Amino acid sequence: MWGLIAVAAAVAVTAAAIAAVAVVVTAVVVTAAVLLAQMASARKDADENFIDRVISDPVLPCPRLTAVWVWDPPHTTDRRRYVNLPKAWDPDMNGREVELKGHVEPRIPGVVVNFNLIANPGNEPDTPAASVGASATSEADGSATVRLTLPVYGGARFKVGGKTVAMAQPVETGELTVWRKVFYQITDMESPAAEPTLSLAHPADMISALTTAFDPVFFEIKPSTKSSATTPYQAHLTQEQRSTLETSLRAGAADDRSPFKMNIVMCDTADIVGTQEWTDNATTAAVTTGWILKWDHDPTVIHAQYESAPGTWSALTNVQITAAPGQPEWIAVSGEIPGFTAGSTVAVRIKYRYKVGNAGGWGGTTGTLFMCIGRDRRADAAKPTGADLQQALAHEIGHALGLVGTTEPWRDMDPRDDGYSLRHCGYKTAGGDPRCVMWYMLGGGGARLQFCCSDRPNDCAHYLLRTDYSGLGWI
Amino acid sequence: MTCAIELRCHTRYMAYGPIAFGVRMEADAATHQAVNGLLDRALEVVLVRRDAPGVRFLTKTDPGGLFLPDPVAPPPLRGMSATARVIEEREFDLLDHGRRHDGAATYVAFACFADAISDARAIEVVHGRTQLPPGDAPPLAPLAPSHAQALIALLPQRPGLVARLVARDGLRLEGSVTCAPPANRFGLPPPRTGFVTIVAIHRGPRGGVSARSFQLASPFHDGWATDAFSLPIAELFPELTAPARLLVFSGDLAPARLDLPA
Repeated sequence: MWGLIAVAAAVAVTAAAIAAVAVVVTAVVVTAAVLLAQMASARKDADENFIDRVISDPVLPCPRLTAVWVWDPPHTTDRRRYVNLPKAWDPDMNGREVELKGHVEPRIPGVVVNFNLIANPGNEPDTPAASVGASATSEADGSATVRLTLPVYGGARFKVGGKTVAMAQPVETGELTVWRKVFYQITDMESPAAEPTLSLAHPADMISALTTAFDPVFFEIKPSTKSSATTPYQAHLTQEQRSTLETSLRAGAADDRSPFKMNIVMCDTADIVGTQEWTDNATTAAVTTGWILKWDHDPTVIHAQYESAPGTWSALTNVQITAAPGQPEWIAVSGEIPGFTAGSTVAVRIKYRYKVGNAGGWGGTTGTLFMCIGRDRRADAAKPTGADLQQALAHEIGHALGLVGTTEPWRDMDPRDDGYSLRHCGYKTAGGDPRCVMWYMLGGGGARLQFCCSDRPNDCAHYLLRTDYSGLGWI
Repeated sequence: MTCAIELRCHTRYMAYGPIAFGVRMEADAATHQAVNGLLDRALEVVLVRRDAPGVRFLTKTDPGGLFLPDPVAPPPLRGMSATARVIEEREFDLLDHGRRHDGAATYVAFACFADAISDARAIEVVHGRTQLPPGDAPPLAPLAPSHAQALIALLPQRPGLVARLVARDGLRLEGSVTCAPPANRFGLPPPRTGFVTIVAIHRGPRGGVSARSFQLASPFHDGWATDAFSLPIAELFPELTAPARLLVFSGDLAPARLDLPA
């Protein structure tokens, strides 16, 4: 009996143990299944995130396939480039060689950027080509530089496009326009002591009036570092005095804009004196010359005589100078033959000085220009205006810039200019009127205030546009 | 109007200068008034090349000067004599105001003042190394053979130069020339063709001279060239009006003189 009880107990214990093991195994299996399911889900999430990062994360694989090119300021805006001036004066503005800078985003090294030149379709047909580097590779900071070489041709416009392989279209710089720049000093003449109210200062709008002529040919005229001066009064400048004054002013005018600098010197007068002898066989006691322009700087009469005996000349009496009514610039010399006998004929001669026309200005190729304003200023204190001087100044600066060359086909063929280093413009309208500021005489308006430009390439404007002024040798 | 002009010059100059000339202008009262007392406005001193095409005018004022239009003189007053004469003498140098003469050349020189023309002078400018380059001289188009032959037939002697004014499609200057190539002593190649230089002188109170040179069409052959020309005056000298004189030059040949009909 006790044996049966012991066997039954052992069977019961074994069954309980087996049941317990089964529970544990089931729990383990279930737990493992749950874990496996969670792991599978987690891997799926990870794969999806990986795809997202490939698309959006810039620091993950293949950066060179994603970098884009960006131009740096100031290359993003339209600008003027002064191609005649030394680059060292202002590398961002001067010289034909332009360093265009930009960078890749992200800022990583080793990205190749390709460049292309974009010429403005409105450029003149004879505009020489610009050139630009084909490509550059970004530096450690992502930056890169490409060199653009501009032509000297005024008004030429160019852009540069830059592009990485990841970009469908290049991004363009602002447009660079070729300009030239020259500098000026204005030297005013002091007022004469005898006429303290007479100002020989330049008109305030004198330089701004020049834009009519020089903007169309892409020249800027700007004040130099030393842009003003005064010089003592001189009533009149002869050729020798002009030369002496120019030499002395030149030394004082040189500054850090030299030799791209001109000096515009305001002066009273710089006319030419001539002498004539008036002769007649007088049949009256009173004799009078014809009208002559008065010379203000020396005595008018050199001699006034009559033939008192054959071969003997004696002085006329009551010699006077009379101005024309309302026109004091015009005078006549009169005198009387002493002891004149009615019905006789007496030889008379009057030698005098006179003014050979009115000089408006004097220029040349040296960069010093004289503007004669005393005559106008005395007649009207508000004259001359900048507009009044515009033609003379533009003409003289045109000469200083090389117009018109002795072999240029549009030069005035008149032999008056033959043998000089420069000539004048010969173009006229169909009606025979001159049509350029480089005509040899002052006068007229409209086309006479500008450089002729309708006969490309053989005209004054296109000469100024295409000429290299980096070697200018003024003051 | 009866003015006078006298030209004073040497016959031989050195190219490096001075190449000086003097003129004496004598104006009547009407001419003095017409040029506003500025006699040189009616003056031109003309140098016509004999050894090559080209013309030079002496410069009257510094070309660096820019002059305002001449003021107009008031009308004559009573008491101003109508019989007076005004005399002005001037000195010029061909090399004034920076002009150059970079070579040897021979010229015919004369001066024109209002209605007056001075005697012509043959002058030579000597240079040690080279000849002065020729002046502007566009080529003339050849004439139709029959027209050219008719003009060449007018030549009384050869070498020689003949010219006439004819009214055909407007006034034309026609003529012919037989000439030898001008010599030079610098070993330069001779020109291929001859040339003519035509000077138009306006003989009014304000004067005025214009000039043009042309290369002839026919080349030199056996040391001579014979050619004819026919040029419309209106195209040659559009501003020319009578009274005017035309002078036609070719090398050292005697010039032809023609007065424009009124």
